[in-house]
Amino acid sequence: MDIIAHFLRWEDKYWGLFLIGLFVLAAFCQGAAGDCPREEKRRYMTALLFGLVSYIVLLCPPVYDFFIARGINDFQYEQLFHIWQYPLFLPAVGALAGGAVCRKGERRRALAFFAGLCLLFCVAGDGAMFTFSRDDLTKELMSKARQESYQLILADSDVRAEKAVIWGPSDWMADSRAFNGDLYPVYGKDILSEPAKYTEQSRSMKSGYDSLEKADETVVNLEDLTGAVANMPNVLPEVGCNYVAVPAEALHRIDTDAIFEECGYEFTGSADGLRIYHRDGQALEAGQ
Amino acid sequence: MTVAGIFLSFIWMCVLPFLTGALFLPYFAKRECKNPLTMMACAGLMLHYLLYEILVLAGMAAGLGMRAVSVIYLTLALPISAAGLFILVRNRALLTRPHLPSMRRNAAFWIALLLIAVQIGVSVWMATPDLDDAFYSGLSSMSIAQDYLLEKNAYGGLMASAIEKRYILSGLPVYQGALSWLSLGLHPLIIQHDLFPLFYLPLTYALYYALGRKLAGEKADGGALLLTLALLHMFGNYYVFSPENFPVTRLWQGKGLFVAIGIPMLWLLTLEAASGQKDKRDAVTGWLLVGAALMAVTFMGETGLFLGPVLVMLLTLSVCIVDKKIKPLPCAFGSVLPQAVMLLWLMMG
Repeated sequence: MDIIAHFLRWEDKYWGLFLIGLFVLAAFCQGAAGDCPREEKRRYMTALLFGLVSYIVLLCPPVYDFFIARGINDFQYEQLFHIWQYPLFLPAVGALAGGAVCRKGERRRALAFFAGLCLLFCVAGDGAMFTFSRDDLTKELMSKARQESYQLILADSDVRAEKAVIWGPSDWMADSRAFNGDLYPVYGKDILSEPAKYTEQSRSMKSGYDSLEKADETVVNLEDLTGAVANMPNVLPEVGCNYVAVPAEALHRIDTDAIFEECGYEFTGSADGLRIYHRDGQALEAGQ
Repeated sequence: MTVAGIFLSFIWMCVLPFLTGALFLPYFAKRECKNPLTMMACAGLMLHYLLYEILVLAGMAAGLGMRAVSVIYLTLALPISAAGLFILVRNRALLTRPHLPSMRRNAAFWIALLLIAVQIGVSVWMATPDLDDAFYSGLSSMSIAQDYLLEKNAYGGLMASAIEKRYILSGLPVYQGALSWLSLGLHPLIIQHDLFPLFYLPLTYALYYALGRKLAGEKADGGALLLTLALLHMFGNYYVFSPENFPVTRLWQGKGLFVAIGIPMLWLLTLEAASGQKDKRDAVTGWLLVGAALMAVTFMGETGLFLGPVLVMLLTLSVCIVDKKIKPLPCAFGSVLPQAVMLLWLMMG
């Protein structure tokens, strides 16, 4: 991608603030030329020079091309700018500005400057803490119901001495990895971003299951789902998917008990709004 | 059991690194560092990350598992920390008492502390779901369950596909799994979501405060700076990958830790090493610390591997231009050399 075009796209994000920071620093350097102590002037110059040099270096097309040619994509290159330029540079500028104003004995102006910044953040910002956290003020790293569903499968597989290969809702499978490394989701989060890594059957399974997860869908992709389930011994020759978790509410639309029992699964238990079915893992390995 | 696990985690995550950092107390005191406790804590943490990173890389080459690597880590870390304790006791007169302004003189400082306490409380008590947890926490859980290092891709189905090369150099998820194993089986999610913010958010703010004071000088209003930072982290949710919310929302992930602790630490150590080193021994110590911090940010994630050396070199170049000297440049180049080699290996495919 043309680095200049990319640069123009960046300008509507942090670069505007970064440029303002550079300007403020340059203004302080200019203002501090006369009566400023040498050490203080040195600090301004170091920060300003760092900002300028890093800006020029990373904007430089050969540098951009060097990274892109070696597997860094545009998005990652952009992240590098945001991640490393912003968190230090603006507070550094603020610190220097505050320091300079305080040195001149104008502490009230410095406080006003910081108070203005604080007000700006509070009014124009977005509560990151509250946006990213759950609504209730309770410790909920993983709900008890979710933990129960995993523990049910782990206890059952332990008794049967089987490896627990699971198939279920996408977020449920993703969470399972964080919960316990003995749970093996049949496909990963990357089935959407990198579908080429997976077989046609796995993608069919994903498609079939997605229809079950959509609560307002009136027509379930039954053919894909039953076909996918019946295909599982073919999909995973080395280990079968011995545990399937289906939303209990899906029973209102299709008879999941009948579908999975026809494929050799038996109902094992319920937890976290899911009905969990099991099929003998060893039988799956034998291709039965 | 949970309380005992948390206590043990505190020892591995805070006490041992702090004692290790005490090995450099004479260096920081000689540099007239105004925040020796902060610098010691961070230097020690960087050294522990460096140690675990080397052991993970060596362990992968030797076919060892997470448990063996962790036992070796403890075997080395405990005597190093004991040596640090000896240095600390011997040089306790060098420790300066933290100067806390009165509420009347600097209300902003105390309001900032209150807001930081709120952030810690929110981080510990409120879940911050993130899809990347399936990867980071998944790797930790996998290393505990299967006793292996960075072998399998936690994104992929059946966890049977090999991990991508770019993740092999970052042992942080395995380290978090090791903390769980060493803390009587305390779940890695608790260590990541609760203990990392609890122990390292204060350190993050202490580092940024120290850096702000270093840049702005002693007369700068540290309280106002701290308050600005606290509000920035609380309200600056501009973009999901924006660094102003990393410390609060995902401190346990590699790039979050790099932004929160790695970047300010690199700035502080590089500024210390690049400027005004008259004693040759101090100069060597300074640049060795920079090198250790660079390996530590590599341990945190590939972001550190890419950005750490660039940051150190450009900062050193800026200092050299301002001070009109060239001597720090080859020293900086020497400190980034291990990362340059790792980066080349990574980019060569």
